[in-house]
Amino acid sequence: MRHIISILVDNEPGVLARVSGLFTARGFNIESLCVAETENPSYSRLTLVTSGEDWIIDQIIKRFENMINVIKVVDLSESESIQRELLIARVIPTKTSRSEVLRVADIFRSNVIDVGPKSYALELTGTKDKLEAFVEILRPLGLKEVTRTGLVSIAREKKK
Amino acid sequence: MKKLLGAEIFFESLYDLGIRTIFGLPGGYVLKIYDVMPSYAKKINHILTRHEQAATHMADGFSRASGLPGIILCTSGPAATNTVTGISTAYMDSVPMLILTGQVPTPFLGSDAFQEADHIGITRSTTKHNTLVRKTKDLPKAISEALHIANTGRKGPVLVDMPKDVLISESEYVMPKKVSLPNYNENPKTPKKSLSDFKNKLLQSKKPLLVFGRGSCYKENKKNISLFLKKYNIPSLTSLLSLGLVDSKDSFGMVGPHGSYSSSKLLEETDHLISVGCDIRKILRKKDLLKKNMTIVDIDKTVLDSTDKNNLSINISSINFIDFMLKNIGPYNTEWTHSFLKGLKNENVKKENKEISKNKKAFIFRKLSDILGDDVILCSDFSYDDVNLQQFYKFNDYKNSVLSGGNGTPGYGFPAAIGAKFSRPKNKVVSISSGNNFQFNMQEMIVALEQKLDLTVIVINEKSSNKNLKYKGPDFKLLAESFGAKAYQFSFDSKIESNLKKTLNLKGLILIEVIM
Repeated sequence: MRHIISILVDNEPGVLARVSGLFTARGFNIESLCVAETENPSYSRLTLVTSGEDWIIDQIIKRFENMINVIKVVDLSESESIQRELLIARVIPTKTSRSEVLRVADIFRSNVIDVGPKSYALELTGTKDKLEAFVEILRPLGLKEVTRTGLVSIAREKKK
Repeated sequence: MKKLLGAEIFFESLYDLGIRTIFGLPGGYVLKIYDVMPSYAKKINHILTRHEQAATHMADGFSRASGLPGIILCTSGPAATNTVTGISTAYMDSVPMLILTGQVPTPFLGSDAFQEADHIGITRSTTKHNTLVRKTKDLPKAISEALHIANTGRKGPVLVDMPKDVLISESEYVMPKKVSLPNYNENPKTPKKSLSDFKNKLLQSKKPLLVFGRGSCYKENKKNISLFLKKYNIPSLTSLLSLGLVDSKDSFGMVGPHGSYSSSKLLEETDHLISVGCDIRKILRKKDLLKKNMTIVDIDKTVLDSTDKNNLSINISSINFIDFMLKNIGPYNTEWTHSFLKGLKNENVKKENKEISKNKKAFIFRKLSDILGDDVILCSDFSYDDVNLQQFYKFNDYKNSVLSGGNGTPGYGFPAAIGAKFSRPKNKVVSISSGNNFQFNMQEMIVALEQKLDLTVIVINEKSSNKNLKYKGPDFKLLAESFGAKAYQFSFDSKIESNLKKTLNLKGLILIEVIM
């Protein structure tokens, strides 16, 4: 099953290796990983996506909680949290597809963040599915390269 | 305030934290520490070992025999990598230990400098925590935090890496008044409900069975456990690492696939297995635990099982839990009958005697127990051929059993015995190893001689049962004599008992080779 694990850690060198080391030790793959400072500069938030049997993920989370540098660990379920990813794509359109690229960007509410004589750089935020759809549509229009952040996620407010 | 060298701060910190004995070996990046050592010689006793692995085992044995943390000092690179086996042994068995390694100066970190290794990276998975000190003024804080982490909660080894420039530059020595680790929770908050759930579950069960692991080995527990067991007539088992926690006359032996006869009988009969400070799911086969009604009590959440709804998991320290059991379980009668338990004990004795008559090594363990009696620290390592024969020695205190458990480290016993002797110099210490295991750390005989220790080393010299190995041991008697120790060679025959009796209580380093 897919799990989104959000971990609040000390903003110190070596903490990322400590966290990711637990996955390597068990032969697990990390599908996506995103680390950045939080509102408090002494802490970082680490959001990682992985798949595995529930009881193993449960074990891994308990081990995270035992670590000295880990403050809080949450296993966010997909329905009770919001997820976003950011993508930047470079497109080199043919003469005929230049306007089509902009139209697609418009439909997806993507911004053009760089323009050159030959190419566009487009930025898009959204869920994983939306980004994948965007990439598929751009592919025949002259898509050159894509770079994506990992997934970031926050829990929804609890319904009463 | 007067400024001190990093190396002096190192000793001041250790002394202020109550450390009096360290085990170690000098080397390039820790030379400053050894330079200033003479002026601290009266405060801190440094034991010079001949190999870093042995140093870690000594610190480990020191800790197991006394409950105090063991301290190791060594240099970087090969020295630090040598300690990994010992650290791993301590980590597996939750032994508090502090490993202080030298490191290349901070500007050269990660440059493949001479004798450089990434200690933090290498030991990340075998330590409870590890840390690199970057500034001299941070040294007292790092050491006090490391010691606190090692010695609280589920105990374990902690490594502190000290680059050379940290040790040779100066700073004021300020020891923080209190360790402040906001994210570290040494004593878990236990919901009251889980304890009352446990009480109900216990009162409903007809034949409860207690299993104690190394997590229960505290002096507070030893008395409370025997009071509780007597009060309610509940049988109990121990793991390899807690042998002696329950007096041998009250205990039903060791749990596990190589455990006692009575342990498997009790496991069959019980309807409520209560495991305290013991990773029971690692010890027993899945088949044995299937559909068993269990309560797992541990200070470490990772040992608990939250997936099975039949099981109750309580995250609490064993001291608090046993205290709760003793005070809060009111009148309660189990369905264990006196005759059944007594019969089981008799049957167990019969099975043990049968094993002893058959297995020469089991015989030696039992004879040692008969000859030496209580108050002797027995150190031994894992044996390839016969597993867990240590259970034939009748331990009456967990501090007297110094055995490598989870890691099954060969060559553990002898250096651990040296460490144990330093922690309890008045007690007799005996190490018993097979010939192949003894060879892993036999160079440490010179340490025992240098320090004038009274130590008895029994080496069981036997041909390997695996014919392909073509193993042939050296003449251990000649070997020990070349070091300057007194040595005796006996073959295993009818006179073995009287020969052991004659030699076991001699003073000095004595090596007894028993040829099987």
